[in-house]
Amino acid sequence: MKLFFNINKTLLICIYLTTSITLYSCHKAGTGGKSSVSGSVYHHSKLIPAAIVYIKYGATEFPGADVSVYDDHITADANAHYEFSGLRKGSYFLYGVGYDNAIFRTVTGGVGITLKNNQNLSSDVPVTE
Amino acid sequence: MRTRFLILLFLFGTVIIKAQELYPNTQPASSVPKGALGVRVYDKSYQDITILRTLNVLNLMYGLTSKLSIYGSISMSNHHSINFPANLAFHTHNGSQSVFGSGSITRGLQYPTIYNGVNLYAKYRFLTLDGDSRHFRMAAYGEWSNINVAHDEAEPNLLDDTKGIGAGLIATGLIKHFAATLSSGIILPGKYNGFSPDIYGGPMVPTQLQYGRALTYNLSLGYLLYPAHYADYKQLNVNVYVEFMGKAYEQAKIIQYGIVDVPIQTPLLKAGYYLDVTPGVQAIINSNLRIDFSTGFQCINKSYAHFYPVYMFGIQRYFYFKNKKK
Repeated sequence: MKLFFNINKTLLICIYLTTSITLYSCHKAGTGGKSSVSGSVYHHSKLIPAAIVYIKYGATEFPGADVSVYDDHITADANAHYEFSGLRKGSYFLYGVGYDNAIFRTVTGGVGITLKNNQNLSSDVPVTE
Repeated sequence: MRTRFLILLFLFGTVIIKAQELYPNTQPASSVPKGALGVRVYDKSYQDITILRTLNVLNLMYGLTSKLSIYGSISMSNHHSINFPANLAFHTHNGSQSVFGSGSITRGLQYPTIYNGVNLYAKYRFLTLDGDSRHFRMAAYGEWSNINVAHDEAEPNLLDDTKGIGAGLIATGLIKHFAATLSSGIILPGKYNGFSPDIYGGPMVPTQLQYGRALTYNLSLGYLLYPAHYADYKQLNVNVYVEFMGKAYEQAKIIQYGIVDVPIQTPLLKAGYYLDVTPGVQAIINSNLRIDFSTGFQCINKSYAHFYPVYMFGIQRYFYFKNKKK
């Protein structure tokens, strides 16, 4: 009986610690923070100007090609550069859609990122046919 | 002297009586003695073409209760990098079409020794049938690992290659000098999100590898070679072992560019199964200091996660914090 009690006590402490750590570390990704992610859209070594980069908050996997499921988007400039700022710590998925005029094809691709507090992350978005 | 021997036999009894089930590479159903802290360091190495691959593990174990043992390991190795090698996955251009493929991973690449991560393991002995110079015990185990290296084969390994969880059962029988343990379990590995070099010179390509789920199966046999009869707790203890260790695992899955499901075309990433045979020898000095050496060979098929033979060398010692009974 004493052994049973001790195991229960140990389990309760473990559950409490796990829950506390989970709640403490569970910040919702999105806007309202001081972090940012920026980079360029590439098809191999070729820059893809005017590509649209979509961002999905709280995602680590590809949410799909339906761009309506994304939370925000931005059009890369003439140098294929994009930036999302004012983000909180958390996970994000970036999805780039552009046009490679060398092969006359739409190119797409994505990358999952994780932002820390006050981090300015550099992450290119490689795309493919 | 006799009283002292009996006291020490009681304290270290778990080690003395069951020494032949302290397998070098697998776990028996028996527990770590309650209140004892075990410290083990071991090294596994094999030749990968011209590179000597080594895995260094620090393993701490503690007998939380007489039935519940907990283990924690940290490891370092030069098995992998933090990014995948070139040609793990690639694509070629055929006109305006891209043809994706996998394979042709160069073996024998030089990697620095890096910290792999942590592995936590717990074992609960739920059945104990003890007799005179014999016992039968069963235990259940669960493990969790957080490993962050770019392991590039389908086969998961929670100790040093892949993050994930695992669970299983262990049954150990011992009759006099002979011990046998059968264990089986499952591994549910996580994914690794890394990058691969772009062979066309672009930025690193986001590459995710989902390792195959696996079933593990092990049969371990141990024999107490020396002494024939215990006379002193300081007696050198020599055990010989043969361990059969295997896994059956599913095919891996590669996602590149976040969106492309790359076809698997290499046996390194396809589903497979194998069984290795690993003979070993062990010396236990003063009923506590344990020294293991074993060599693993392929028996049925082969593992693509290591080359053969695999040499293992380990040292282990228990520290007892309980007051000795007077």
